[in-house]
Amino acid sequence: MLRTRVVPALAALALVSGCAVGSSSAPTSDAATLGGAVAEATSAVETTRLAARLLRTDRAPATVVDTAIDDSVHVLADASFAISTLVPGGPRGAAWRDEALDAVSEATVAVTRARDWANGVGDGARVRGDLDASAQRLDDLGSELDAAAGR
Amino acid sequence: MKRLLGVALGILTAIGGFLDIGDLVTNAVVGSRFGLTLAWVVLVGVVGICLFAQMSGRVAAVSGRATFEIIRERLGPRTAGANLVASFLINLLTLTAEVGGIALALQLASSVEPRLWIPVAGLAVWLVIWRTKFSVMENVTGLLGLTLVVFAVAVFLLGPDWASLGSQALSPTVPAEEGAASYWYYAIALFGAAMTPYEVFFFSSGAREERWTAKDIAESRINVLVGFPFGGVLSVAIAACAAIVFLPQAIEVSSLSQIVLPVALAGGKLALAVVIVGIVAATFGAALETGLSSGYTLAQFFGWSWGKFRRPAQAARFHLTMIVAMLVAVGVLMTSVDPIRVTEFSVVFSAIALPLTYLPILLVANDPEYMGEHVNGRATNALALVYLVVIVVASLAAIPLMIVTGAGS
Repeated sequence: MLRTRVVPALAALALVSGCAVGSSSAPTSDAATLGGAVAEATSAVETTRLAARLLRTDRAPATVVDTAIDDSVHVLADASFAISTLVPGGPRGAAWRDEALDAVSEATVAVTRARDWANGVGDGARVRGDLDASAQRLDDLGSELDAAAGR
Repeated sequence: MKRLLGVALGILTAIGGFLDIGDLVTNAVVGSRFGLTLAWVVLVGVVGICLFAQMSGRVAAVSGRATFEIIRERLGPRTAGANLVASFLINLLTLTAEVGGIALALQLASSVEPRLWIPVAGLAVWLVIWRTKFSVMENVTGLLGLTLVVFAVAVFLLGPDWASLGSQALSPTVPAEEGAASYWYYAIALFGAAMTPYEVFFFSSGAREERWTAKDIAESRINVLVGFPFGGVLSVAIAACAAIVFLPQAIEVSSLSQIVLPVALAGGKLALAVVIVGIVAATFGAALETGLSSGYTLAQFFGWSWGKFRRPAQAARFHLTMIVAMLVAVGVLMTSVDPIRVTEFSVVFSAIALPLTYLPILLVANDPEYMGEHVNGRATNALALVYLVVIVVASLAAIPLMIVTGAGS
């Protein structure tokens, strides 16, 4: 009688425990999840680069560029949230997560400065340099994660 | 001459009125992720909406009844009631997306946050519905929507690799970085964007608003069969712009501001101004149509007086329904929900709900008691049955694919 109650209870406890500690996954899964977030961040940085180029070459007004960069900031916030809430499956996953978080933070700074520049504050050449460096870093990390995820 | 001008106006209005926020967003997202490998779906969707609109317009003109009046007569109140609930809710979702689209487009022109534009947009749509004649409302937004042809112009100005674009469109394959599930999920989304139910509610009710008879069938057929395919070309142009500019840069479209950047790259500030006007017109026009459709569906089902051809006091519940629908749409948007995500869900749910309106129209279009000599011909019926299968399959596959792909993410 006790066994018929204990086993289902333990099973239920195991299930709920899995939910309580958040998502945990193998390295391949870590790489796939982080790769998705890094791809989002890459998209945001590339959009900002394009928008900045359009402003620099006078092909778009500041209102449109400001809106596009603002939207990119929101995308980076979503990417950062996805990365920071991942519970990695091991030390490799943790290292990737830390690297991704750092890269996305760097991207956020670069994109935010680009928005300042679009509104008349800051140095255009420095903004371009920051965005290029951020894009390269995210691209390199994205390639590493895709390879680890088997894509 | 007058008739010719009327036909020309009808065609131009059909082209300009074809696109809405669902087409803009879905085609741009698809272009940025899949290139033109899903262009074939636009063709399928355009043929489908031509068939569907032509049937429903003919049914309205000959039977003197609009869509939901027929659905209730043909299916009975219980089944039609379930149909009404689903159709009304999806129409409301689409209305929310369109009002959100107006606010996002106005943000582009002003840098003012969309939440400040949302109540303004809702009020403006309601005022136009309240005070403007049906034909003026339809023609002005349709003609202004023609400015979206700037997407087609931008494709040429961007100087693409035509061989590559052609290869994507004519030999569609699932891109390596996207799975088959995502590919087919977005195929259904594109299909839903082209065949939104509100277009049919509006088209058939509009036939009654403008008092079409059997004599008007030929003209409406020309408007649909010429206008909608050109509208489909603009859909593919939006996807092509995204494919040319975003796909190589690994940019995934998630905002309206991204959608206009290829046009700016191609044609500068002038082209950008034109496209923003076009987007405001297209989303505003679609908001008018979905707003009116909310009134049409409920009023026709319950047998209330309806129509803009009646004074508001003579169709009070019809107008009250639209006011409530608009308030709900504005209320939802004011919670800061992303209008782009609302749009993405609305097109998929449109595909899910399509059989509910398509099947009754198909049944009535074949019923000589309603249609007399104007029943479907053999060729129309053959095509209509093929589309019935396509629509049912898309409807059944949509939710599983939504779950498996995480709504396309």
